[in-house]
Amino acid sequence: MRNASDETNAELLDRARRGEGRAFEDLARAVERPLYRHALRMLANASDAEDVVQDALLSAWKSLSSFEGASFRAWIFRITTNRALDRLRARKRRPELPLDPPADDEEAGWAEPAASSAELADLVGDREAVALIEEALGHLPPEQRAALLLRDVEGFAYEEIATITFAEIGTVKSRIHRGRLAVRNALVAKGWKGSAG
Amino acid sequence: MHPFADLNAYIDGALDPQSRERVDAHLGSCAICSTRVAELRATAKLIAALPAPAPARSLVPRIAVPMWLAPLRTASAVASGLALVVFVISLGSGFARQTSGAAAPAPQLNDRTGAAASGQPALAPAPPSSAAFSAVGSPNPAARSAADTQKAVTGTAAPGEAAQQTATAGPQAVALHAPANPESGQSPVVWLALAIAFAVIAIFATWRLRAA
Repeated sequence: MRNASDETNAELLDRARRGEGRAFEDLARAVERPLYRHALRMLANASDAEDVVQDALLSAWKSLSSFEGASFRAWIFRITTNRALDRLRARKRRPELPLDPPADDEEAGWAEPAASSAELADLVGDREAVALIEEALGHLPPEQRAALLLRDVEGFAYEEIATITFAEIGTVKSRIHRGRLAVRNALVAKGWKGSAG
Repeated sequence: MHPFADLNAYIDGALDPQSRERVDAHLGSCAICSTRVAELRATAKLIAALPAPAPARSLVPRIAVPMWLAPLRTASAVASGLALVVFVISLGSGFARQTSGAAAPAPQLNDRTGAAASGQPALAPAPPSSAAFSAVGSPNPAARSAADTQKAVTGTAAPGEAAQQTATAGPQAVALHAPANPESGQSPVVWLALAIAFAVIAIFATWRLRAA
C-alpha cells in the first residue's frame, strides 16, 4: 500500500514541480491531516497548528523547485516541525530557552509498576490513558516530543527523523528514548504494566 | 549490565546488528529487561493510537488558479485605468461647461448617445479638445469631440464595460431633449464607479494569483 501511494506521490510531485498547482494541492491534501495532528500535538493549540500547517504547505509550494530529496513527506514534515518549534521558541519570553534538557550521563529513572494493575496493551482507546499520555507528551521538551511523535505516530525511521529535525542520529536516539520512557513512566506510575512475552 | 538505554532503539529496529544481537541475547535471560521492552512497545503503540483530530478548515493552499485569471487581472486593470481617465476628462469637461455657460447641456447628452449607438473604436482619443471647444462656445464641435472621446474609450475597454455603458445609456437617451442640469451630470460618477469596480476585480485577481 505504501509503495502504491509512493508511486502516485512521485508522479504528483513531478507534476507539481513542473508548476502544476492542482498536483501540489493533491499532494498537500494527502498530508494535511498527519501534519495537523503533528502540529497540534507539538503546539497544543488548534489555531496555531492550523497556521503552522498552512504556512508550511504554502512555503513548500514556493520552494518546491529547491526540493531535491526523495521523500516529499519527510520534507514537508521537516518544514512543519521546524515551524512548530520556532513558534514554541517565540512563545517563550527568553529567546534561547534550551528545548532539550542538559544530557545527564546517568540512566533516566524507571518507575516501578504498582501491584495489581491492568495491562498496558489493553489500554488502546482508554480515555484515562489517552489523557495521561497526552499530558505526559505535553510535558516533554519540544525536541523530544517531536522526535517521539515522528517515530511512533508518523512511523519515520531514525535516519529520517535526524534529517527532519537537523539532529545527529545519536541525539535522535536519545530523544526518543527519553521521551518514550517518560510516557511509559507516567503510565506505569498509574499502575498499568506491560508483561513480557 | 542491563542495556536499558538501547531498549527503545531495539524495539524501533534502529540498533546496529552487533548491538541488536547483544540485546537479543540479554533479553533471553533477563525478566526485567523483557518486561521493560514490553512496556515500551505498549507505550509506543498507545502513542500511535492516540485520537487524531481533523483540522476545522482546509489547510491546503489554493494554488491551482483558473487559466483566465491573469488575463482578467490585466483587462480589469486596463479598464479601471481607462475609466479613471474618462472620469477625469468628464470632470474636466463638466468644469469647462460650467465656465462656458449655455453650451454645456448639448455635449453632455450627445456624448452618451454617441457612445451607446456606436461601438466602433476611434483611432485616437482626443481628451483635451472637448474642454477647448466648449470653451469657445460653439455647441456642435464640442459635442462631436466629447462623443469621440467616449467612443475611443468604449472601443478599447473591456467588453463588460461597453455592455454596462450601453445598459446605462438606454434611459439617458430618452431624456435626450429634456433640459439637463450641467452641474449634476451622472456621467463622471458612473465612470468613477466603473473604475473602482474594475480595480476591485483586478486587486482580487492579483491577490489570487499571488497566493498561488
